[in-house]
This record gives sequence, C-alpha cells and structure tokens, in this order.
Amino acid sequence: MATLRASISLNSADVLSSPLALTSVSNILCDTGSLTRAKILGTQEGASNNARVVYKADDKTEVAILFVRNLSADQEKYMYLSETQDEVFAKIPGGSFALIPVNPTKTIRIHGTDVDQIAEYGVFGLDSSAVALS
Amino acid sequence: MATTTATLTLSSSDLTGDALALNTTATLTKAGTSTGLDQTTGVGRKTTTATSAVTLFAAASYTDDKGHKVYIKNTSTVATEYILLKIGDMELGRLYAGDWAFFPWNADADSTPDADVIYTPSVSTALTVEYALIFEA
Repeated sequence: MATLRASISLNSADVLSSPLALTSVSNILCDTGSLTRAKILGTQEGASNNARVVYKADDKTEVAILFVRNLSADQEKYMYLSETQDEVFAKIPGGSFALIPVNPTKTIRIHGTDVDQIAEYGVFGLDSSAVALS
Repeated sequence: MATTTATLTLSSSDLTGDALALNTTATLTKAGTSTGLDQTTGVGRKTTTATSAVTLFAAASYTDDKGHKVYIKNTSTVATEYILLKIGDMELGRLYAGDWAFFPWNADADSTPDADVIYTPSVSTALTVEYALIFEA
C-alpha cells in the first residue's frame, strides 16, 4: 500500500481583517494512481460529444480521489466535470484546480470551452482488478 | 480587492517508481476576471451527532454561476468515519478521516434540486467538519 500526501494552503492577507492562513494535510492510502496531461476533446458533456473520460466507473473501490487542473492561461477557458448522467458539477476556470472525492461507481467526464485546451488530471485510490481502462 | 491563493501539493514516494511531486498555486478570482474573490465565510467548524444530511452551503444564498470555491475537511481521527459529500442530489464521494476537498462551486439554483453543498456523516457520534467558502456577490 502506498501513501499519497495531499496538502492545501489557503492564504490571504486581506480577505478578512485577520489573515487567512489555513493548511491542511491528508495522507491517503492508495495502491494506484497516475497523472495525465491531455487535450480536451469536446465542448459539451456526454460521451456522444467527445467529453473525455477522466475516471471510469468501478476502476476504484471505496476510495477514489480526483485531481483536475486546467492549464489554460485564460480564466474564461473553463473545464467542466460531469457525471454519468451528464450532470455538470464543477466548472474550473483557467489556471485553477480541484481535488475532490468521486463516487467510485460513476464515470466522470471532462469537456471544455474549446477543444484542445489542456487538462492535467489523475485519480488515486484503491484499484479494482475487475475493470480495465482500455 | 482581496487576494486569496490556494496552493495544492500532491506527493508520494512509493505510489510509482517515479516519485510524485506536484505543486500548483491558483489565485482565486471572480468569474471571468482577474479580480480576486472578496467575500468569505471564514474558516468554520461544524459538529454533528446524527447521520442525517447537513446542508453546509445553500445555493439560494449565493449568486448563481460565479467563481465560488469550497474547502471542506473531515477532521475525524477515526479511520473508518467518513462524510458523504453531495452537490444537490449528485453524490461526489466520501471524505474519510483527515481527508479534504477543494473545488469550484457554481451555486446553481436553477437545477432541481438546487446545487447545495451537502454532507452526511457516517456516524452518530460527534464528527466535526471544517469548512470555508470564498465567494463573490
């Protein structure tokens, strides 16, 4: 079993009268995971619109943590995450990222404002040998 | 204008043969602009003693389709205790003891149901969640 160390720091000197300086660290037990950098293939949700699969249903068991980073320098070049039923649940602006748990039984897809935007993503968790990615 | 940054680090020395060491920082800005998000709930904690769903942020209380960002952490130290995180009726996944999530939230109130940020504790003993919302009007 391997450990993924995930930490986040939220900092601001002026969003409150008191400085915001929050750091949180999580050590996630996982046996598989990888980072991928790939182009966005579609501009609408759904498999029929070429939305790229970033997590395939049942690839992990119990724990599945999804990281997505939008590498676009233009903040208005969004990336959208949607679930099996094509419901968009997150809209990531250029230059930003998300780290979220995902339901291991649901496929997650990504599409963008434009095709050819570049996303960096990875899923970490406990692997299921019952599902092949290709 | 306020400036808030979020820095994420993912690292592992034993997950793959090539050590993972990712570090990225984003400045949290209003939708479609380079102006910083200027409102926040601050960092808060909520303790529950039931396994019923808790609405952490109600979409109707925030402006739809903006650049809001959510941080949420399960502060439990009992490895088996988790919270089930949902956006509206869509299940995101589980945050086990010590795990956190950070994600953009559009506060969509046009969907059915509203895209509220909801969590459900797995235990009825005291479980504390830490949270922060950085948002815009």
